[in-house]
Amino acid sequence: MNAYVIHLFIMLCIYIVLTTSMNLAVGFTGLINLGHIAFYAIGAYTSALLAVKLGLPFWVGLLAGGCMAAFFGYLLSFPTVRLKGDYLAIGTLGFSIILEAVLKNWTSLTRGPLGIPGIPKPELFGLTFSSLELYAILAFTLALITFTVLKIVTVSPFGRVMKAVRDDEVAAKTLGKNTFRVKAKVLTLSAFFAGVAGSLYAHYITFIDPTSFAITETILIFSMVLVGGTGSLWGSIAGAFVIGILLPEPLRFLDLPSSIVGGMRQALYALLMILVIMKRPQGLIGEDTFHSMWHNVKRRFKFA
Amino acid sequence: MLTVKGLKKSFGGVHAVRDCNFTVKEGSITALIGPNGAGKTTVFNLITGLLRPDAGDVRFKGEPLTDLQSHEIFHAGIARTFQLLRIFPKLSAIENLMIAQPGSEGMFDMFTKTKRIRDEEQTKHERAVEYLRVVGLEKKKDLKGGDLSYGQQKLLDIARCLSTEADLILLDEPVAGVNPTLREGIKKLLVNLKKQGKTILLIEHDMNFVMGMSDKVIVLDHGEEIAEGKPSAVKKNKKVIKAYLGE
Amino acid sequence: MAVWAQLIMNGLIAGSIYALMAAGFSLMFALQRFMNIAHGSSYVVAAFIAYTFAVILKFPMWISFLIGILAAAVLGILINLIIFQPLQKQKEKNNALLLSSFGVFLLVEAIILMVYGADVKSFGLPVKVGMDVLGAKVTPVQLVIICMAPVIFGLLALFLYKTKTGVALRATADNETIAKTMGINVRFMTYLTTGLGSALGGVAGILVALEQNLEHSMGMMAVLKGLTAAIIGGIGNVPAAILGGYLLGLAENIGVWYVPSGYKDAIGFGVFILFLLFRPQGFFGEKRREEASG
Repeated sequence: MNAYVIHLFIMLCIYIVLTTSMNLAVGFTGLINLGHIAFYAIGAYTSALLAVKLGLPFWVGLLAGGCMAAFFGYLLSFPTVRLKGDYLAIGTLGFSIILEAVLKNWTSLTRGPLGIPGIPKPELFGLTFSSLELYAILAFTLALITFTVLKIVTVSPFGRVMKAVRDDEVAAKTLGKNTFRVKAKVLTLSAFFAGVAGSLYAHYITFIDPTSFAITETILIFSMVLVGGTGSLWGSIAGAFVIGILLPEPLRFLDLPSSIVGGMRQALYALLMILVIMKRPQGLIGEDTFHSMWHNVKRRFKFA
Repeated sequence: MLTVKGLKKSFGGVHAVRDCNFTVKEGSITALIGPNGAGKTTVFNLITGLLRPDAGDVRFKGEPLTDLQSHEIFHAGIARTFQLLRIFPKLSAIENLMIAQPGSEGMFDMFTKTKRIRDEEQTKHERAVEYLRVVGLEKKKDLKGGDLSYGQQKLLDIARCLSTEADLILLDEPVAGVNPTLREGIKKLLVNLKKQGKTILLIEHDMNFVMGMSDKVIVLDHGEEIAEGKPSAVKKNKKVIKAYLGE
Repeated sequence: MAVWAQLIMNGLIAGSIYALMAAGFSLMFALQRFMNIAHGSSYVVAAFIAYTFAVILKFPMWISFLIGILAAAVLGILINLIIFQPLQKQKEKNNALLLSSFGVFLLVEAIILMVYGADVKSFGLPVKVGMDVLGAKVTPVQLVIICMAPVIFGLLALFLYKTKTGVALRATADNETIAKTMGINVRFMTYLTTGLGSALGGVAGILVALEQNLEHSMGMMAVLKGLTAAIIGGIGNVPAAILGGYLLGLAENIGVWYVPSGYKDAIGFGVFILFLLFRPQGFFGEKRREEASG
């Protein structure tokens, strides 16, 4: 198979882990987390440093990256979940910017702007995932696990509580739900998978530096989630595909200077995001799309 | 069952509740009435922990509630409805009720207690259907809460509150904006509930609605209790007449 | 002593800028009731438009500045008109408004990047040696910043508290429904606050551009600092936001004495988190009536 296509597939899998986990917070629970990219960065750096500095195996780094991101997600939830959603948004945005500064300035650990090169390819069960095909299988497996776990969480009674918190937090409280704890748990789990995605990315590209996790990258994930459809995991997959793979490809063939391409990408994502919010808040595949399709089918059969 | 003593709450210098004292007896229907802005909903919000009182004491079955959070107060046995509807618009009618049922709701319970969750969901579903039937909404069970009409949403809110099987039920204007037929239906429902031994405290703006069925009426005006007693007595109270008709 | 004088002076310089951002932000928040991240656009746009006129088109400096500030105000009003007004009608408007303001901010930033490129620009003012002011070294531009901010705040206070329009504006912020019944044109007030708030952001942007230089990405930190200052002071309250701005500026610049300067922004963030934890209503804010009451 074409190496470039496999590369796109691997990136798609990484995006899916990122978007589905972000959707858990944004779409299912109504938590505006503008710092998902920061958790991604934490996962990537943790995993990369453990591998490069301590020589720990990939799966340890993967879990540690996820747990470290989850830990910060949990910490951030403390000051913010009791307040109006705006505070969480500003808090996560601030966190993301501060993290970027820390990655740039803590040179003794992160090598600052020089980045971390030579991150080893994963080894599992005596197998080195150095070929593209093998890495694609690994990425796909992790995306599948993420999707399954999140799917089960969202359809469980806990998932129902998440949606209730999103729809009406006051009502959820008076029905006995500890909404603060629900929000903290969701942020933690969401951050965990962002960390996993970061680790997966670091060991694939084998080089990371602070610019890979700039705040402007958040817009990419956000437009994926919003265009795909908030409150729908399938929507997030669709969004990752459309925004992450389909859309940027034509841009590559235009021979433009990098500041223009970078600007165009950002403008395009931002514009899409605004348009979706204004014109089609449910996104490509909304929370109700399958539900109402199923209803239509049932209705047809009954009346036919 | 519920004792409210010296309850006070003000918002930026405006006294919403000044000095509120009353008790609710087990197995009774108590009505909290008063003109608009009398502080009735604020009293509910204080009881259910959505607001913190400036002073005063609320006790339920002898236990103080004032330091508990809303969700803990629910678990102590108090459920409520809202004057401005607060159903979950994107959950289906049946889910709106299932969420009010007890059961394990941990994030990973589906992985660790699969069997138990499945059984609980079954029970929740059955009970939810049962209560939807009580308010005549069983045919709408798969519709989203937000797609129901105003009256249906009102019924759904009441059904959700009842299905919790809480010991004390607080209803905030259950018949406001509801047509007369439905109004009678809700009245019958409440009387039936009382017969089953439920305790109900309801807020109503309309005096006539509560007169027939309440055991006790408490009248609030400008955050203060101005009368309390049997409906027939309260109706004749001069202060009450003045508060309602104005000067 | 000299060190402290310098730290405090630096704090006042940064504080003036934060206060300008925070005042503009608070003015808008008072009517729109959401944290408008797009406020950062006015900061960037004013600086770049002023740069275009002053440096590229060789207009006189002060005219270029006025055009820049005007551009920021117009942009703010346009964004409000095209995006926020329609969204105010949506059901779940708060998240939609917040997210779209983030989108707008990044869109404007991207357009600036495409038009002006990624390289750092400057007004090219001759570098002047700092003068001694109360034991601290201060450049002329910095002195302008320190002196100009209070003048602007004074004018703003005169407008808000002494003019009929200003009183109407505060009445609208206090209670929109009552303001409407009193015959106040609420929509006009929204545009007025947006224009005014964006202009304040524009002033901040131009001042910083004069003092340092211009970059397409300069708005993100500015909006974050402005928001932080407004929250620290007490959200939706303009005088409190201004004081919050100075407080934040001083905290960061005095704190820098104790930690490496690369972490200056982290100090601001730390202060922000502390406020969220222990005093979310802000330093001067009163606890608002909770949204819970039905």
